[in-house]
Amino acid sequence: MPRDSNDLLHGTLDLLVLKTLSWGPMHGYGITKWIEQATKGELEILDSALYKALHRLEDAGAIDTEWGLSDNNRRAKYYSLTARGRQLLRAETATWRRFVAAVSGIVEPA
Amino acid sequence: MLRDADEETAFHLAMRISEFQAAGMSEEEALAEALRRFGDRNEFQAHARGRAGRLTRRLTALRWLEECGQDVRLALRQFLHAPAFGSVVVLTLAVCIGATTAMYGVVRHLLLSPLPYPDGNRIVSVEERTEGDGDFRWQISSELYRVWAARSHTLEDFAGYQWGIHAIGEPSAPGAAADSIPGTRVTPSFLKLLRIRPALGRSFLPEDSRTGAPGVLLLGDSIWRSRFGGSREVIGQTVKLDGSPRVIIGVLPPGLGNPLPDGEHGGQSVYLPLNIDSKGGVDAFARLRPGVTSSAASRELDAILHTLPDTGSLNGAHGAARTAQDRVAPDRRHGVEVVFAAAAGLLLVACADVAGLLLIRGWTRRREFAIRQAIGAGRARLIRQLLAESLFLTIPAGALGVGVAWLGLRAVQAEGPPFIARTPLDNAALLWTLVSAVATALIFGVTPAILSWERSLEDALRNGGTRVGEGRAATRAHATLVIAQIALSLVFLATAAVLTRSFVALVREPIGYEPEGLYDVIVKPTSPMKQNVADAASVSIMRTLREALEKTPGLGEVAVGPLPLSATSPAPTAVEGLSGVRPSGLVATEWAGVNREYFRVARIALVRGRGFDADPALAAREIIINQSLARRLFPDRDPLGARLQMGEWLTVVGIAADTHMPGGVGPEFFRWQVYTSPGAMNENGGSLLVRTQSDSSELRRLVARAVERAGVGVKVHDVRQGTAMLEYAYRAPRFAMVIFDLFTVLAVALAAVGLFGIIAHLVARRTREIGIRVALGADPVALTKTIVGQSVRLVGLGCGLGLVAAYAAASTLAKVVPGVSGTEPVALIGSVMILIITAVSASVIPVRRALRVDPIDTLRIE
Repeated sequence: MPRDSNDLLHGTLDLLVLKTLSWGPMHGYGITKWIEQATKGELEILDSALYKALHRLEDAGAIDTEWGLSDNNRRAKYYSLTARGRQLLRAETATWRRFVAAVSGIVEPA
Repeated sequence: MLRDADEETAFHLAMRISEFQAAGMSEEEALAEALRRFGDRNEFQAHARGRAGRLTRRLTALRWLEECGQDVRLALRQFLHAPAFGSVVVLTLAVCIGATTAMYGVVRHLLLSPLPYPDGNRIVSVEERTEGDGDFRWQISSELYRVWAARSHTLEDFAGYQWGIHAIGEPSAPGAAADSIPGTRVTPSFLKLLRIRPALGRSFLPEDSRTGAPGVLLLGDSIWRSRFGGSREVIGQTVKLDGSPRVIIGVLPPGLGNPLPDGEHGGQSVYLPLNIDSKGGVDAFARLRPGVTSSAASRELDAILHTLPDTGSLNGAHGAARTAQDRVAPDRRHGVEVVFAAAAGLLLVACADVAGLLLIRGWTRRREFAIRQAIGAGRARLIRQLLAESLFLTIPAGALGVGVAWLGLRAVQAEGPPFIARTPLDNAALLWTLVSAVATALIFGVTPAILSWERSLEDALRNGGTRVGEGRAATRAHATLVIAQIALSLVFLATAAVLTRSFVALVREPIGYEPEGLYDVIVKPTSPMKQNVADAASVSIMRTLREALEKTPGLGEVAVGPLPLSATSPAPTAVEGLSGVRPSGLVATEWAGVNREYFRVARIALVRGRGFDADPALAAREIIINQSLARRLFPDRDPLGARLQMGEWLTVVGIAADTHMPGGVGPEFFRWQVYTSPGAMNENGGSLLVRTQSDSSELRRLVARAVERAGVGVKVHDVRQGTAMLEYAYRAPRFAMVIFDLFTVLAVALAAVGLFGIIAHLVARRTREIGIRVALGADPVALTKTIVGQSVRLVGLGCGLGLVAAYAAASTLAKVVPGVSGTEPVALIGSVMILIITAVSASVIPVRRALRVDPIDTLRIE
């Protein structure tokens, strides 16, 4: 399916969130930190955009939420992947690979 | 949902701030940095709000569906818990809903629905009417048709027809007659008037009706199916009609009726082109131009009529354009409206009844409701559940009601007066059923719940729902229901009694002759007679037959002539010295050929003059007319000696008493009677009048044998009973009477059941109070008297109101339905007694039960 630039951006962010959650349930701040560390702060994603991605994925049934206690004993909302989320992660990963290959073929011809 | 998002954001920001503080920022710097990293908070909040709203709505819808499922389950459980209660309610409502549906069908068919053609309510009949025409519609002359069609600006698409009987095909055997079928000659414009096209083939063209044009015909739908096998190949085939060949050019669609006479013959008719330039009368119709009313068109037709130099019409004739609804006679319209109102009233009685029963049930269930409210069920939720419960009763009732309506309409078709006998059970009537079922559910299902609503939850819970009396509102509702039911059932009783009495009066009404034990025997020649010798020969045949029958033992008195009122084809008659009678200088009268003995046998009195002369030759030049015709033709001169023309001029020698249908049914001119002498046979055969003690099968046997023995070449075609002729007049009033009797039985039964239930409940509720009073030394007899007295007062109030309403109903009925008058005190007093006895027994039984219980037990009941 053809995508517009907005979709592309959302899709990328969704993929990052799904991949992050594939390691286990996390709260929103945890996910932010994890992505920051994994990308060494290169992507500079606004926190609100990340939360919107979480909401979007929740509405799509890809992730579940549950209130729990954080490490410092504060109430926090924990996100975890659902079966559907795992499926989506696989599909989005494959799409991402094709996308990267296609873009690389233009930008850095072998 | 929204709070979740806020809390999450707060947690996030707090974590950020501590993270940045840990990295060495000041508190302000950390906060600023956390906010910068978060992005536009306002925009994010708006997003969160929108999302929360969407989720809430989806959840609400889900919960609503789930609750509906619960409601249905609860309602089903409620129904199964008390199946007898449920069945009584369902049956009661089914009967009442069915009755209103059937009557709505009749009202719609007769008074509301337009003719079944595009813009069918603009089709009007075009008539020349005079006083006394009743609901009879005359043909107009072709000349008048042409004048009106040419000069009217309010009407368009004039069309006319002439109805008749035609012989189709070849005779099946030599000497036999070919099959007769109804045939309608229509002007080529007729299909344009109706805005219909043939289902097959083409319509008539103007040239088809010209003299000398090749013969063509159109087939009605059912004759096409029955006689021509419904084949498409019929177009272009030739059939013989009245001996000459005609080509079938088309087939009309099914379902044609009014204004075509076809409806009465089930599409069995064929259609021939009518040339309106010929002489003779025509049934004329036209279409109101858009925006024109039928009364405006009537005024215009009347104005045109009065510009004509000599219309040759009766004094006071006027032009009229009438729609199908205009043509329904006022007494029929009122009759149908009254019966419809009665059916709706019955439905109200049933609703009141069921409401009372549900009110009682609601009271016994108030603990359940209180508990459910206490654990958080909203009022809306409880009302919805009650609604579901009552729909659970009314939907089956509606479904059964359709069956009842169907049966009811079958009864209307079989027993009802002819003018409503073709009422269909259509979608509109079914929609009415649905509407009345749902309205019933709303009225009786939810209202009692609101009335018996528990004001104080704690009270209901603490007292276990049995100790405290009902709310004042509920008690008042009970009383109102009792009073309303009694009042309504008295109205029914009064109406039924009045209708019954007027029917009895109708049956006893003198009608100018004695129909009991009177028969006429119709004879027909066994082989066709030559027309020119027929007259003289048939006179002697009839005389021989009369003598033969009179000599037969067991037959009694015999005369020549038909049953009174059995002829229904007025013949145009000229009157000496009188001009200006319809349709062209003639007055329409009934003619009957009779012999001298006729008046004696029929018991028709001769009020003036004398009977026919004993000499047949002299009698042949004499006529006897009845009083109505004498008054009509000779208001200011002596009728005796006046002359009327029927072929030749005949002299009036006597005046006979009027014979008429009971209640004066039918237009006035049906009662303008001329008797000639002697009776002969015409193309319909000849009639002999017999007055006998024998029953009708014995009579048939005796007559058949005597006629055969006489050996004059005739056979018995039919034997008609005098009383059967009156059926037509009795049918409508008898039908109304039977319907009202049925409705009344139902209404009184419903009222008695409802009354018993409510009063027994009101008394039973006081069991504890009675126990305490007895324990404190109250006299049981006096106590019983007090309680019974209270019930009787309630019934008395209802009866008082009911009597006023019944009187009003009876006098309204007397105004709108002819032949009905006054009220029926005996029936009213009788029904008041029934209701009071019901009330007394309904209160005595529970009071005695309460008195038998040990006072200690009543105190311990909870």
